[in-house]
Amino acid sequence: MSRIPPAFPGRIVQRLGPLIAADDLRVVAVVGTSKNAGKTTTLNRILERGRALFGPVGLVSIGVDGEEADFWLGHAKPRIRVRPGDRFATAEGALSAATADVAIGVRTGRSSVLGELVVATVTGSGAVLLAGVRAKADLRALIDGLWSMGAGKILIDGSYQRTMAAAPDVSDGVVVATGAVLGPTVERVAERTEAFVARLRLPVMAPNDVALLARATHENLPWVAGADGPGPCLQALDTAFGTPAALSMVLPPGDSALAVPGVVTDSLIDGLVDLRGRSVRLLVSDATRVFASWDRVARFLERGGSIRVQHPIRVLAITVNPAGIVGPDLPADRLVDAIGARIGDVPVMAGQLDPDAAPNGGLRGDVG
Amino acid sequence: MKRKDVAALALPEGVNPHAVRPYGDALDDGLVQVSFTLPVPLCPESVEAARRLGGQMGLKEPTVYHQADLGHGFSFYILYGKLQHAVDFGRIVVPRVSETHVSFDEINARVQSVLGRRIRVVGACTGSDAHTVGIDAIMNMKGYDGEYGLERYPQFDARNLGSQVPNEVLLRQIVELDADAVLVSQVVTQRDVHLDNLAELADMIEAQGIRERIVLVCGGPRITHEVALELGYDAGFGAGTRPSQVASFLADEVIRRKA
Ligand code: B12
Repeated sequence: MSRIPPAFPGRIVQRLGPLIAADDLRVVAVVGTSKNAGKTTTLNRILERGRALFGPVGLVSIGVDGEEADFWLGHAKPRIRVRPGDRFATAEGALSAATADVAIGVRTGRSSVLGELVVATVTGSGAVLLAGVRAKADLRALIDGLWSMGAGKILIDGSYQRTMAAAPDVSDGVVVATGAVLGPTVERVAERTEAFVARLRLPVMAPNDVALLARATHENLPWVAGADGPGPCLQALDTAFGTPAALSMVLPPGDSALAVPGVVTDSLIDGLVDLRGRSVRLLVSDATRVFASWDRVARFLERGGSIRVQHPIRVLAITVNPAGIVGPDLPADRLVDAIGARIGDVPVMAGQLDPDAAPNGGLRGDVG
Repeated sequence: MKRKDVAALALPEGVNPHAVRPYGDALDDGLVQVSFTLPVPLCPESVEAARRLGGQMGLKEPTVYHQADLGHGFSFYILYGKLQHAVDFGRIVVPRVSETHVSFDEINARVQSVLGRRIRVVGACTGSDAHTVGIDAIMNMKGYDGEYGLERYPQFDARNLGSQVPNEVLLRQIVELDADAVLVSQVVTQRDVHLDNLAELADMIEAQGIRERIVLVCGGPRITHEVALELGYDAGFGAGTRPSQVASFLADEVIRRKA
């Protein structure tokens, strides 16, 4: 198991904190490429170095974060360590698992199986459990609560590889946590990370496409614009979910734009790839709507198609956890190099194998 | 509030709620029973092997109380031993849904009077999972454990899409039927692929812009409410779930959102 060259973590620390401290990043989401990619460790690292720069932080998770052991594999998980003055959002029932002293400030009136969603202030240092968010609406209510309690910077921890918190109507920027858990080799991890980030960073659409998407969204129907001008797709669901007959009827030969108000699935992309003599610009609100596998999307792009988003996602940094958890650990420096070689313009930051690692192979990504 | 109010629990006298241990003959003796099969015929060495395995499990004073030859070179053992661990009851948080038992008739009557229409439910066993018995137990007419399934409830319009349903097919059905509730069954087998699949469905429903309108529920032998929350579901039902528990949760949640 190779270690990071000693100079390496220092360089990283200096970059991640100030990057997230920027004033236009009011809400930053940590999004994982997988479970156990080092999201919570990344969050803890941001907190450690960032508190001095941010003012009061507000913490929220879209999953369950800060539990002592992984539910499935039983390995030790990083706790969420808080200090007096931090604000955090969770379900009331999760407060009994906290070792920190806390005081509830805002009650949202939204209930969950763990009790009402609340926002609290930390009065004495310790660990807390973040839980209870199921939907974007929960997240929005809690973010509002955190603002109203004076949070200066809100950090959202992700869950699995879910991208809900990366949506531009939730967060202003994203830190992607990735790592050895994605594959058995450095190349495989780099390749899968590249695909994940490419999806998040789908390019922004031209202004005249925005109007088409606005109509589609307003009417909750796909809209098409070709040589004959724009119009709604009458076979709405068949078009949106990529039924070949509907697509070939709806899309005119030559260049066209298809605005979809909902999600982009495998079958929609397959349907578009199969169309002959057409070049389609697919328009969606943001990248979190795109669920088609990246292999398919790549084929679609190769054949002259394109996907454009109205609201782009800013990927601020990529953190790499070298701990494999279910497979082998991988060398952090080589992971950083391989990912950096594929994604040139986003800082890639390595993890460090933590000397306090749990003997059973606990999460050792110590992302600095 | 740091710890659960353990004083409120009706515990036997002398039990320390912050260090609960298994009970055998006396409080805090830690006595447990384990049983297993070994792929060796019964003989004095095999009994000693069983005892040593008990010791390796961390049991103090492991004792073989019962042994039997199973034939074909296999043997079976029951051991007693003293577990050295304890749990702090005050630190355990298990998410739960309301536990008042409500009957078939009560649920239907409530939906009819408060909601005034049938609850539309779509269920499926998704992704690569072909274990349909669980979702069938909850949804099928004939039901499970002496209870009717959701299809039998007059106030539920329940559709079971069956096994290995891709997320996008399920999503389309949810949109087409304007479902109030979605039931997803997953056994969660090797390498946790089923968890990724559950997580993707939650994100898809959100991205489609319909999450707030839907009660999203998962279930399966390894599913808990905590796992469900982590994946973006409203609740998660595990082994032994009865249809009426699900029906009553759905009725409560749909009524809360829509009535
Ligand atoms: C029957 C069975 C099969 C049948 C399934 C037939 C069918 N039509 O369902 C067949 C033979 C096809 C099969 C195949 C496999 N199986 Co199998 N199978 C079983 C078995 C024996 C019983 C499962 C069952 O029906 N339980 C009864 C139901 C009622 O219980 P339940 O599913 O838990 O459902 C209850 C609750 O969980 C809950 N619930 C479930 N779903 C939902 C959904 C909602 C919304 C809600 C609210 C509640 C809810 O309510 C239900 C009622 O209380 C179990 C072992 C066992 N004894 O449990 C293995 C088992 C589940 N199978 C297993 C495996 C590994 C497989 C295979 C991968 C084997 C292989 N290598 O090929 C394949 C996978 C196939 C696939 N693609 O999914 C493992 C899973 C291990 C794991 N957890 O990782 C088990 C546990 C066996 C074992 N010990 O190894 N299997």
